[in-house]
Amino acid sequence: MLAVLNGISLGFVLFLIGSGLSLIIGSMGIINLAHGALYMVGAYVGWSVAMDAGLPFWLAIVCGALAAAAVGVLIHQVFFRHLSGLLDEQILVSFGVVYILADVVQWVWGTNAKAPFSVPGLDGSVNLLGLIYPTARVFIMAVGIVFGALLWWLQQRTRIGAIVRAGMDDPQMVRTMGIRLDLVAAGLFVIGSAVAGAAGVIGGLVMGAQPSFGIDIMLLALVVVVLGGVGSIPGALIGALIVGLSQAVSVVLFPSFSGFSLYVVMAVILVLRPAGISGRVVTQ
Amino acid sequence: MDCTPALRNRTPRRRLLALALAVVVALALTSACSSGTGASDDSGPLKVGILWPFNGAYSNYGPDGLAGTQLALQEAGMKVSGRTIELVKGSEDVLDPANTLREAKRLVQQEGVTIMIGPVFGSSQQAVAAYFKTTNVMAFVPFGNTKELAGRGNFIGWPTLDTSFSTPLGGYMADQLHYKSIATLAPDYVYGHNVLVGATQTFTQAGGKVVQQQWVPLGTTDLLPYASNLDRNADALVMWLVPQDAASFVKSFRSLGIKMPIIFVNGVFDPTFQSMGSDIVDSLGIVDWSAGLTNAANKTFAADFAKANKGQVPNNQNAAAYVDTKLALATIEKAGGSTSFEELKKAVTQVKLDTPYGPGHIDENFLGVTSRTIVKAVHQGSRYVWEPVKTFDNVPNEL
Repeated sequence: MLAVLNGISLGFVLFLIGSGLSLIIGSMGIINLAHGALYMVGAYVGWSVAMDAGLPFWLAIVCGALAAAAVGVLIHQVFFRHLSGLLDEQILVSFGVVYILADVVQWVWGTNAKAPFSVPGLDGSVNLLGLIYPTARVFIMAVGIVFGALLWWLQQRTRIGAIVRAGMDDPQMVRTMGIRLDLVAAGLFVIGSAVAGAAGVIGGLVMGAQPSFGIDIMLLALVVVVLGGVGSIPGALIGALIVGLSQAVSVVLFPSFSGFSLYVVMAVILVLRPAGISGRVVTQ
Repeated sequence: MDCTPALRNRTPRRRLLALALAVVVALALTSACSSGTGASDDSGPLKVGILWPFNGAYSNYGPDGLAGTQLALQEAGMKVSGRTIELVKGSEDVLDPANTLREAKRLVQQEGVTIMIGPVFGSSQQAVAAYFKTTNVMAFVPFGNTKELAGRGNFIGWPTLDTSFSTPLGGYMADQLHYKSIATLAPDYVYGHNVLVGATQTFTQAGGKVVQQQWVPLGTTDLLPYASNLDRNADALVMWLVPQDAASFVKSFRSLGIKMPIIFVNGVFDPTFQSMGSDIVDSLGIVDWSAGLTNAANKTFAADFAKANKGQVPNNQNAAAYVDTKLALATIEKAGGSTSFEELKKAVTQVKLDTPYGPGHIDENFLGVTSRTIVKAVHQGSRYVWEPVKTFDNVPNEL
């Protein structure tokens, strides 16, 4: 039971970062491998606000999101705006950005990783289903559920969501209707970046902040997107929960294979559903 | 016109001959340079290299190591056996041993280094091992000292062989703490496995039982599953993780309401220790060195380091590089100022030093023999420190 809860809580952290990445790939066709680095930037900014300055945690989340959004705008305007449809170049450039941002955070915050954040009210434990469980994990799950519901509503029940969905299925048609799809997509890139930054602060409660997150977290987020299928919020949620659960459960059931059990699960799912769980295919 | 084909045939042959000659000359020159590198050139400044990570992953180690080495050199007046010392910096690449090898070659071939402080990480040491052997470089290395590199003389492993690091802990747990069973946790790579070997072997020999060993794969971001999967029937958890992972694990461990004692192999390094100290107050650990050790050499080192570094408290990297450098200088001194590899090999095992770790020397396998101390995490003033509980001197290396 504890392993399942652990998997779900890790799944929700990954959902927060993977959902933004999934939408960016799905709506814009941009492979932004620096998405994990935006998570890292958010985590470090959150550390400064919540731990160094001692300000409220909600403010740390806002600041982390804003900082990552600002970096996202920069990355989009400097690089991705000029690399539309050039997937190889996008991958190479964004991978370079990961290294740049990792060096920048080490320059600004020092080379030592930051310990998990201690936040009044979120430290300690609660009784959950008869188990003593970390309050921070319960908070993360709650945020993930609220955030997932909000994203689903935005995507399925609003005009903007309809444009995004239509843009994924048939961008040419959306443009012929006079909709500035590039603006919508750019806005989505910024929102996705902000969500990654906010996820970094929230994830900092249990994982702290490390320069290696740019790659470590990105790897898991990519698996979430591949499993869930690009552009699908429910798909990202299911993918994230699969990743989280396979990570947590394999430690208990197959400890010697926990390092690669996730990839076995991924391989099996992709054999059965090559386009991921949601079945959506990217349209260029 | 008739002779053209013949000319055409001869010209490539001549070119080939010229090329072959050039290659032979180049090889001869390289060979001469190589043998010259390792041979003693006992006049002029002595170049000492420091090959620690200054960029990329673990780039905090480089400046820390440099500060320790500089202090040792300053204490020696930048001289050894009457020769001026010139320190040359190179950057170890923790993630790419091939880059470390390139940097080692630069230090040796271009800078003329024959004595090296570092590299630090086991993978880097493996990468440069063959090269150091052919060029007769002597490297004084902290951490990551494996059996495979022992005994050659190219690597002087201070403070100890990694599999012997925690040797005194097993008997201490069985005899003093009366533990019957332990669980362990460490990263799933060579050092993680090796650093627990001493403790688990001696604990088992003393009648204890290791009921669970969890190995954390590289790149694991969430350590809660390892806390929740812990066998709670064990009397204690013995663990080593890099500081930030240790902090993350302990937080998860405590928030699951687990009361089991944790014993930290190698303690937890600063600055992470300072940020997580309240979670582990009264926990025990085993260390080779900590700022809280009370031997006279450590007090002098801490005072001198603080004086040279704006009041800073030294950390493990500072101490390791400091002692590695002191050892290197004492070895050269013992060899009468010679940097001949064979003479250095003879000299290094004759050196005896009072170090911040405790009294120490180098054994016949070129590994450090020094003290290990059982420590307890306590809050002292505004800082957390590892307070000495019991010291074991002259802990041997078990190959």
